[in-house]
Amino acid sequence: MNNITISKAVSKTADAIIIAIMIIAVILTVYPFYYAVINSLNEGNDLLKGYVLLWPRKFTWDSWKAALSDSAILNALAVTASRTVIVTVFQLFITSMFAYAFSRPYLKHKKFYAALGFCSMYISGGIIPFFLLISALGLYDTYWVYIIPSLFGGFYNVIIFTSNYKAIPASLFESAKLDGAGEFRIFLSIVTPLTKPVLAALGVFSVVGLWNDYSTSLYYTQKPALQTLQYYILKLVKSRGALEQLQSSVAGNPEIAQLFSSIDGSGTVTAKSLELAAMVLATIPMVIMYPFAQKFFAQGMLVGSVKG
Amino acid sequence: MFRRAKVFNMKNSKLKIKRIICILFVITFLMGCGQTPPGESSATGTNPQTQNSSSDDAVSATTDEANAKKEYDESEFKTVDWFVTGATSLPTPWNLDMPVMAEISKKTGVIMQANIPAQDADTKLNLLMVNGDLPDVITIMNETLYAELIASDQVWNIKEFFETYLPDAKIINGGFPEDIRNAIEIRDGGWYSIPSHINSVDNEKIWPIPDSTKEYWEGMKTANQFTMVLNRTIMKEYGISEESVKTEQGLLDAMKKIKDAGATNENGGSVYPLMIHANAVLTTNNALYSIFGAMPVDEDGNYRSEYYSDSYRDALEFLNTCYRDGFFDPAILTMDQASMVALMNEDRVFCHIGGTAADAMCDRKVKDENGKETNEYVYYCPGPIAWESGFVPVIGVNNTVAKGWLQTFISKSCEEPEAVARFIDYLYMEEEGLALWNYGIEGMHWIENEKGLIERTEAGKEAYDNMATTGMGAFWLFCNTSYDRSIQNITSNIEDNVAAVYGRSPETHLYDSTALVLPSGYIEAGSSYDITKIEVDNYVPQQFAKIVMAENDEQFDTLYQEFLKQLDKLGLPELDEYKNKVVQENYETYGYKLKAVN
Amino acid sequence: MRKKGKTPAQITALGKDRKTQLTLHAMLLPGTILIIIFNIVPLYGILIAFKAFRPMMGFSGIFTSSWNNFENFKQVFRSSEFWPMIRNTLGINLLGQCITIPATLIFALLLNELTSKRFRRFVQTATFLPHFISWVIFGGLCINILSPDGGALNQILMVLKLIDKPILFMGEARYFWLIVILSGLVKDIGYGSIIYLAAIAGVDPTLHEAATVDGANRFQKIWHVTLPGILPTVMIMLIFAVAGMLNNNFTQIYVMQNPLNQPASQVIDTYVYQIGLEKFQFGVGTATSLLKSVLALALLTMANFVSNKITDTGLF
Repeated sequence: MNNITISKAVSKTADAIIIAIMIIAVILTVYPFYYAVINSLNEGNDLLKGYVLLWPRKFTWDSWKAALSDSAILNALAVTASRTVIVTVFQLFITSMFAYAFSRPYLKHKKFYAALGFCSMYISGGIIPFFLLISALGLYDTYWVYIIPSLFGGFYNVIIFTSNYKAIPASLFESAKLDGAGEFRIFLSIVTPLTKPVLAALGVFSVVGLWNDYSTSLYYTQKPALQTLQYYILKLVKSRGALEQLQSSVAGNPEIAQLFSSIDGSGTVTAKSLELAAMVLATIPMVIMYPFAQKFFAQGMLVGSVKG
Repeated sequence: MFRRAKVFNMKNSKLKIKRIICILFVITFLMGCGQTPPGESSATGTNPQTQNSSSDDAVSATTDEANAKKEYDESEFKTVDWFVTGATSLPTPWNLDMPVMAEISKKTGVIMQANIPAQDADTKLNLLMVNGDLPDVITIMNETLYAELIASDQVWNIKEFFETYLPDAKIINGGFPEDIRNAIEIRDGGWYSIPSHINSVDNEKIWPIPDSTKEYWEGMKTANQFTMVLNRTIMKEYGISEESVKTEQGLLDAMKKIKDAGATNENGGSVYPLMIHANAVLTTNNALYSIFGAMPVDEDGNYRSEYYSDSYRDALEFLNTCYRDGFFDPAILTMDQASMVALMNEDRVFCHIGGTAADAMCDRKVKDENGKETNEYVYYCPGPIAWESGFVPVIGVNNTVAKGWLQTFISKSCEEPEAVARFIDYLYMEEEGLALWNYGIEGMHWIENEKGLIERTEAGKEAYDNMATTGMGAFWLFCNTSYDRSIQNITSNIEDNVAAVYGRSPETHLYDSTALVLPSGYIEAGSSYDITKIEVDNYVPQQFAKIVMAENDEQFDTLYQEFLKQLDKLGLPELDEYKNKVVQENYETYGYKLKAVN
Repeated sequence: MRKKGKTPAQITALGKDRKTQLTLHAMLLPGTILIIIFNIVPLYGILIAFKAFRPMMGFSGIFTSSWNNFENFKQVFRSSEFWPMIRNTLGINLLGQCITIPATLIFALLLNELTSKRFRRFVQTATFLPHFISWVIFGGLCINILSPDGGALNQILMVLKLIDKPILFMGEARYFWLIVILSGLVKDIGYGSIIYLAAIAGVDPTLHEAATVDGANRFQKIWHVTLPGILPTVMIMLIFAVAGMLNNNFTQIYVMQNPLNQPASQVIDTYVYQIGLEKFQFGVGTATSLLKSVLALALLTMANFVSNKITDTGLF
């Protein structure tokens, strides 16, 4: 009995320490976001005097209102949201299916697929041929450019899936085969439910990656209606950064520099405060999405699914 | 049995999944097909846009006549795809509900569909070039790219373009200044682009400056935003007179006074006696060259980088003295621009050396004891300081603004050349058009005052502040600086303009820097000269920091000698010689020669 | 109920039959087509690394421009800062991964030990947040916190009497690597722990039950059940980390660079940006990418070999 009491005490101390560590971690990681929020709620022209650290000096909702009232941002949101959902669903499916087949030890010609995969992961022809390809396929400046090239999730994901599939006991496969199930059926009915945590994890990565992507808009589209959310925010940032770049060129004549100071805006909403507001607002859907995926990371959620 | 029961559940889920997939497909399809840019829908207003050839004939018939007075109907509007860098405030998409844009479209029959990439615009343009598919019109600022575009043979020669599509255009009938045109042809081997911010002797003949503002613009001609400013509020508080700081010793004494007094601003933040944008040494160097009199030529007139000049050494010595006396806080070297500007706006900086155009840092006025604004600006430029070394400040004046800032090229694959021609000529050369995009509609947004200059109304000011929405003032690619100067209503004094003080001072040595202009693309990207330039640019900030923070004279000398040696090693003398070839030729062409003073 | 009966002997031959193979290859098909179209076809762009190509030459220029005798490759090596650059890149990455991977793993394990579900979800979501702040903002915040002029860190250290004068952290080259690594850690620890959490969740629960029955306490369970269970995942992350030794987060470094810390902050990516993208030196950019890729593949193979030898798991 003594052993159990001692170990219980140790366990309780450990709990306390862990909680303390977690609280520190939370403070360190939440603060930057908090910082962005309070600065976005501060008057823009006041920000010129320096950023606030604890609470807005001059509180205003104006930047948030401005970010939301611009119909362009709502359109960008629709583009980004639809693209994220569609691509993630299909990508997880195609990639996991690919990885499943790849993970079967009795697959013939595996070396071919491995070579293809690693090659695609590390060696690239660069942006020029890719651009030419997109253009030749007629994807340039269309909504499809957000979907089609991203449908395969990358060999990196394949490797992670594969190692998970390999860890599934062979007995499951054997009994399924004995029952006459085909590979595809096994994949859907048995393997996929068993690997929900990994699917959720890679799903989160996929969603976040797609949500934050701006380079597709930058290089492969032209229409304002096809902007993604992050690209829209990038535009806000860059029109301000232009002044700083300009100053470093000797041809920074005062009249040109004056042009930029006029777009900064005076008053409660400036380019900086708008950028912060847009960034904070863009993060909120991710914060809402994540808890849903967290369900899959609870240990023991797979109890009962392996039996059989 | 267990497994079959599971399979049965899976079948249900499979059906569910299939249904979801189908729905997603439908959504994708709809999004992909039904996507019309909001620009188009709002641009059409009540009438759907038509772009068929019948209206083409109708329009080209009227183009033959004088087109200045012609107005276009909405059904005749043509959309032009315009690739833009630099002029980031152009409204996207084009909005016919805004009076300025509506008026422009009415007068030119054009809807400008601006595509402004957020970054890497030049890369994107290169991609389009490789693909052989340039946008209708292209506005860029990168000089290397001009050469690429022209060499690719995908852009129009401007004279040919207008001769073909708008022979009566002002731009080829005296509206465009000859001297700028010649300079462009020298630079590019032909006239392929329309430069922004054109200003030259010939252009001033076309748009003469009125007497009422002559003094102001004369002062602006020699203006240089890279200069030194001092803070009046701090000076008043610590009893430092403006006279006393006009010598080197006086300036150092003032800084000492501030430091010893432990000066703080009203919120208790300590005051920095000296502030430079040390994180951007290459930019700050412009100010140091000007203030300490470093020219990029030696006594014989050969091109020689300012780094080798005695003046630059003097500048470094001054900064080093400030460091040793505690006026120069090393933390400055890690600050970014925003922090620096914030400090200046809070009156925590006494002396700032560097670029002054950022964030209107010099626009604030001094407040008297009652908190009311006086007429004096907080930051003012003291003018040339009498350095111990006796060096005089210099400013290089480039008389022919050949480069312009933005260059607009017209692609040979442009689909609506007449429309583009009208658009450009109207907004760039016609007085009515220039006034329209700069100031708005007469009566509504501006009025002509007694001096014959343009004054904005309240509505006009508000529209200008929101140029990204209204379009007013956003067409920087068509900035005709001489025109601006001929009608702009100046309300401030030239004496108060910090950028102009050095130029207007008799002590400053003004020199003609036209001969120092190199042809674009002269230093080929990837050549050893280019590598030298990059390496020097990377090396200087590091060594600058070390030199400025030397603890004693010996260390300073050693580090300074190391500096010069390393520059030699990186190949700077060879680069200078290469540039010198052009400079010597230019001396021949322009008929004068430069000599280093100091 | 058995639909089709198969004898044990037939089971071992399972999978080698034509029907199974066809199904498997069919499952591989969509991915394969996508890889071939979007990854393999554009590979002809590698030619640009070996030629003097300029965009104005158009598409055909990729094939018709002249071979330039490895000039593009020489450019990177020609830099007088070449060795400092390599040193910084490798240094930041090696030190970085040594700190980050264990830290993230431990964080995931600790997270998993939290008993209160609600607190755990809260911590997960909270630590996930910084990933979405751009480096421009986050970097600016870090610079602000580290500033000697009222910055939080110096204030705290002085209150705790650990130092008596503020330290210019951003101004000393020796602090730079740590600053980069630790700021990166704060930003991405929550996000990076996701993969470990998923692996931990995937460990067979019966093993945990069996361990409890055997009287194991929670630490023993972690050491003997969880860690071995997630070892394949950890090894994979390690292998990828090794393969990525030559890559840095460009924006992060760019934002935090300044003249004082430059000896420690110039990395391959920032240099290539200066000579590459800014001047449309597609040739140099492609050459550097190619070099990095080849090296990465080599490192990958090596790391995989070592992993297989030591832990019996690996990528292939």
